[in-house]
Amino acid sequence: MSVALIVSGALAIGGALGVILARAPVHSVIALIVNFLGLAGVYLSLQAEFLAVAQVIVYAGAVMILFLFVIALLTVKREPMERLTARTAGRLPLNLLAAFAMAFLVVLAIVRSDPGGSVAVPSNFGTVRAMGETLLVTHVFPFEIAALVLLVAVVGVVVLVGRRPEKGRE
Amino acid sequence: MEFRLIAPELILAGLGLSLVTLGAVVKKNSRALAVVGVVGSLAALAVVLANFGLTQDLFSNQLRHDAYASFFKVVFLVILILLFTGSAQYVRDRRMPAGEFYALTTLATLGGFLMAGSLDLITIFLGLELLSIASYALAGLLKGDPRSQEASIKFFLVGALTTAVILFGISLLYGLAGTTSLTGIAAAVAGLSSAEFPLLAAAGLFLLAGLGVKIAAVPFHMWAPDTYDGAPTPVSAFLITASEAAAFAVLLRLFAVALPSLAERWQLILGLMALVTMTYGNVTAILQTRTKRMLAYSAIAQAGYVLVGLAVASPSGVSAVLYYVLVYALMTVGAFTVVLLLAGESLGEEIADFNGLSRRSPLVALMVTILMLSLIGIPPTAGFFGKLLLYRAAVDSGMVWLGLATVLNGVVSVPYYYRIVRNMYLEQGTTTAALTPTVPIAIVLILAVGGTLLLGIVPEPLARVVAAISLTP
Amino acid sequence: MVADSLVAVTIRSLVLIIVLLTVFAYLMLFERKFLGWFHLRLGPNRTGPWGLAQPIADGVKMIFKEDIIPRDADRFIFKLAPVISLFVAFAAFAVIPVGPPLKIGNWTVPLSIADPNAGVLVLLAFTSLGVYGIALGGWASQSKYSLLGALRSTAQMISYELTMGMSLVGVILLAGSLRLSDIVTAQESLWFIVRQPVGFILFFISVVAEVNRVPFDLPEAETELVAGYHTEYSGMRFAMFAIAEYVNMITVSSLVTLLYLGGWRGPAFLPPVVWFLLKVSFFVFLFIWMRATLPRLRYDRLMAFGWKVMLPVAFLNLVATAAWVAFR
Repeated sequence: MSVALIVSGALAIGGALGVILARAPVHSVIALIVNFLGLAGVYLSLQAEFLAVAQVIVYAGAVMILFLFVIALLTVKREPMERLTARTAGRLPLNLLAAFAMAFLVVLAIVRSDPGGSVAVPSNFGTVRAMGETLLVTHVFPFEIAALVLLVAVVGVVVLVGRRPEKGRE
Repeated sequence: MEFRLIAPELILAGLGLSLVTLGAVVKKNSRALAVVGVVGSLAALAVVLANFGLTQDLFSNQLRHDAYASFFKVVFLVILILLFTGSAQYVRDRRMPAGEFYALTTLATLGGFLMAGSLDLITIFLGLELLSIASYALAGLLKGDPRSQEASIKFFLVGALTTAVILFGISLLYGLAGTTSLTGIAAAVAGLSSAEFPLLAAAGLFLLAGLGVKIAAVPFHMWAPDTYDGAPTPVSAFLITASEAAAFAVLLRLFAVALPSLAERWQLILGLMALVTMTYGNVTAILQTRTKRMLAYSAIAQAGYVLVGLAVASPSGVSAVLYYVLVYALMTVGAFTVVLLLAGESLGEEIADFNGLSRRSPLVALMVTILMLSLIGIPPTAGFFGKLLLYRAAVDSGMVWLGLATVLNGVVSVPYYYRIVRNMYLEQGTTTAALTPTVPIAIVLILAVGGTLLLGIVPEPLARVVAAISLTP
Repeated sequence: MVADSLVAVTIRSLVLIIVLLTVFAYLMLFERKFLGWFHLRLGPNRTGPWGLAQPIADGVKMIFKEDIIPRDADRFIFKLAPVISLFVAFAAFAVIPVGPPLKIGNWTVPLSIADPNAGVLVLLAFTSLGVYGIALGGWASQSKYSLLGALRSTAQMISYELTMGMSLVGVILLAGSLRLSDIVTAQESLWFIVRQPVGFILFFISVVAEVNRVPFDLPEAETELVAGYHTEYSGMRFAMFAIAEYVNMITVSSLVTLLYLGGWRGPAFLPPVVWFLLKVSFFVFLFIWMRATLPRLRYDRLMAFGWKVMLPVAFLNLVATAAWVAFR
């Protein structure tokens, strides 16, 4: 494990913790951006150059800015966060139990599993060309389906929140 | 060859795209759109039936065309055709955006196709998302109705979380196996040491929980009654039948092909899940006063029955599931079409609206009776035979208690189905005017009820077909 | 790529930062001078001969100004935002090669901090992060003008970033590489502005929007929003936003030069670096010229133009280029 991997991994985990621990939603957004940058660092330290850059452009650069856009509009006035209501707080022990059970399984598996040998990566691993091959040749079918998924999402958003001209002004 | 095998998918994709476009052009004429939708779906159905017996892996083994997938595709298309036929008037009366309704339903069905045919976690996930995202929007299509909005939001929030859960399960499985291909995972899992079993169990649990949400199995059912009740009636029918069937298609294939060892170890867990789900659904359904809500809880109960087929982890279980899914689709679409019919009468969606139906239209009342008998599982209806297959599958694999639970639950479900029948024949309705279904609705009812009766009286041909379908060649 | 020693990279980074800061200071002066001439005024001429000491005076003033943070502001983010802007602006310039590697005796000094494989994408990644400085600064100020400016800027930058990326892909397709030095090499015989004229126009318009300059300077439209996202900023924090804006301007001018005007290539009577600087200066001058000439767009027009004109044309351009590359 390289220093870069450890540092960016720590950054990613720190960001993730920040997301759930921050009190102001905008701080959560910033923490999530830090998390994404950390992930990009992890990819970079694993030689997945293109994936790292794409991660920054798409998630940190485009997706999160929309999050920020919405959250900035919704929290123009900074107000204290809502507390857990009694109803949801009552379920907390059960939720924690389920979470710990799952975490226990995963941790147990990691502790008990064989660290294993390293596998050689192909020399062109992570380059733009290799990514392109994988995405547009091997996985061309899922790629096209992803396009349909996006189309459905767009249609759904337009139909749910778009204004319909024939209804007139209300 | 490949193009012939994915022709139904291509037809559905083309149909969905053209319906979006057509919807923008012919805004008012929902009937024209319905006709286009039905014709397109019929074409797809014809191709699926023509290709039924062929088995081949496509797109570097990401998709498998086999009888199992084809059977589910037939089920989806039957649902789609019946719903398109029956819903034109409802869509117009409720001012639903017609183009989007037909297009999203078509594309959601395409998602179901992919889920049924996928041999790879990536395609499974994309199919699931295609189906789910379309469903979130569909549930909220009654724009003026706050309950439809609530249905959509609840569905979406739970669904988004579910996506994360499923993805986490997928990532664990990929980490274990180093591949997303189901056959590859099967090979890798077979070579796992017992030390790595906890990770496999965690992956399986995440996937089970995620897909459990989609089939509304207890304890992942919280969203279901509100969504099924609030969504537009045709959408509710689609979600209860097609969407749940698609999730079952994935669950079965996942556990039979990729994780057979897990399926055997988890017989008890899955069996208990089935037991709790059917009991909860049936007991809660008794308390409901709204038809759609009652049917929603009944859907939870029925999902419990189908889970029996998953729990037994045997080929006969798979066959029983296939049979039941088709039969259940017919019964449910029939029942919801009656709700559509009453809604067209500008009646509400209360169970009390069935009062005196026998005097208004004896034929419709008879049809509803047949559907209810079938939902309970009383001969000579198809529901009886479906339950029989499930019962036999359970007993054959030594889970007699589960088989008995299925039978007992059939008894528990009698009161609420019977109440509808009683209301129709014994109660006095607010109106005695004759009820004449429109031609499309009549066609749907005849097909659904006819199918239910036919499959109950002559079950052998279909039983032979499903018995021949197996997941493990 | 030759592995650079940490020391070499650090030295080059320091040089770059100092050069950029100096250029920024005098660019500001030249902009005011030019604007003055465009308006038939004199421009700054009091501090030093020809106003040449003006930047120093401005710098000293900025440092000693009172640092005001609004009472309701989110202090942490308020302080963080200008730093993000500045950091991203400098970091983006790091991948820009200003000339071919310099040979001094046995030493080869590359004229950029780094020349990564996916150079263009790294640059895009950094510029796409630049918007956070503005968005967060505007939000943290807790002032309606700031927030409106920030929201406008966000919407504008995401919209035009799409066109920018799409028109960029045309160049990448022709060059067959994402590395900026390869792209310059690919223009040996013919500049890409000749082969991608539409792409060039689209790209230039998008980068103007991307750096929030006139006629796309709505985020700080002074006639309606006081000063937009940096209304509440003062002193050095304000200066950091200003530096970031000008460095970004230089960066995108360099990028246009590299992608479409053959980078440092030119007739041999001038050294490559000089050619590069001349071309960049031309674009920087163009920015100033536009500021003196063009009126500001209305906000809805700006968005409609971005989504309904620029993006479709960019897609067509991309498809045409792809078809040409595939079938030639």
